[in-house]
Amino acid sequence: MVQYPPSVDRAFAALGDPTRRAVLERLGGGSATISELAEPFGMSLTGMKKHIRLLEEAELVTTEKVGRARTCMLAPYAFEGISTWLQRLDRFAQVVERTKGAP
Amino acid sequence: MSPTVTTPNELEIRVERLFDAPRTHVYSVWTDPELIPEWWGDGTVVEEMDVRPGGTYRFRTAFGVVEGEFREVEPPERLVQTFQNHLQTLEFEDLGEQTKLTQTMRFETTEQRDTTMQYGVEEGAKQGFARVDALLEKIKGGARQ
Repeated sequence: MVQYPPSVDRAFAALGDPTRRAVLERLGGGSATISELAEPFGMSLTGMKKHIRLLEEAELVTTEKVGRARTCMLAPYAFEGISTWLQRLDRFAQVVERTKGAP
Repeated sequence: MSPTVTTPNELEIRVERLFDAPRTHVYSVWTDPELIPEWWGDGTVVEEMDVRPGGTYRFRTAFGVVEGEFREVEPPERLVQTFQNHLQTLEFEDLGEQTKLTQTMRFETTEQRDTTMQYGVEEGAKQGFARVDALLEKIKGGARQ
C-alpha cells in the first residue's frame, strides 16, 4: 500500500464532490468572492462557506478577507502537477520557434 | 520533439526536451522577462526578474503569485533556481542546430515529488476534471486496498 501525506488524502476527499470541482474550475478562471461562487449554484452562503473551508483544509484554495467580502483563489501552484510543466514547455517551444531568427 | 519524463532517484523529476533552435536562443527565451507572459499565460505580469545569482523573480498569474530565487546563472548553459517548494536545475545542451533542455526538479521529500508527479489539479481547474476523475479512480484503487 502506498502512503500519501495527509494533505493528499484531504485533497482527494475535497475533489470527490462535484460542487467543489466546479468551484475549482470557476476559480481556474480567476478569483471570486463566496457570494459570487454561491449564486450560480443557487446555494446559501453558509453552504458555500463549508465547501470553501474543505478546499482550504485540502490546501487547494486560499482565501483573503477584502473589506466585508472573502475572496477565494486557487492555492498558488501548491499542487502543480508535472502535466502543467509539460504544457508550459509546449508553450515555451512555441515562443522559441516564433522568435527564432529575430535579433 | 516530445518530452521524456523520468524519476532518476527518490527526490527528483527530470524532463528532457529537444528544441530546433541554437542554445543561445533557447536560453535567452527562458530568461527574457518580456517573453515570460507568452509561455506562462493567464495574463501573467512579471513583477520582478533579476537573473543573477541571489536575484529573485516574482510573477503574478491567474493562479496567484509564483516566486523564487536564482541560485546559479551560467549563460547559455545552466540555470539553478528555486520554484515554490522545490529546486530546479536547467541545463541547455548545445547540439548544433538543436538544443536539449534538461529540467531537473528536486524536492525535499519523496512524498512531495510523488504529489507533483500525480497531481493534475491546476490543469483540471482550467480544463475540467475528466482526467483528474480518471486519475483519482486509479489512485484510489491502488492506495486504498
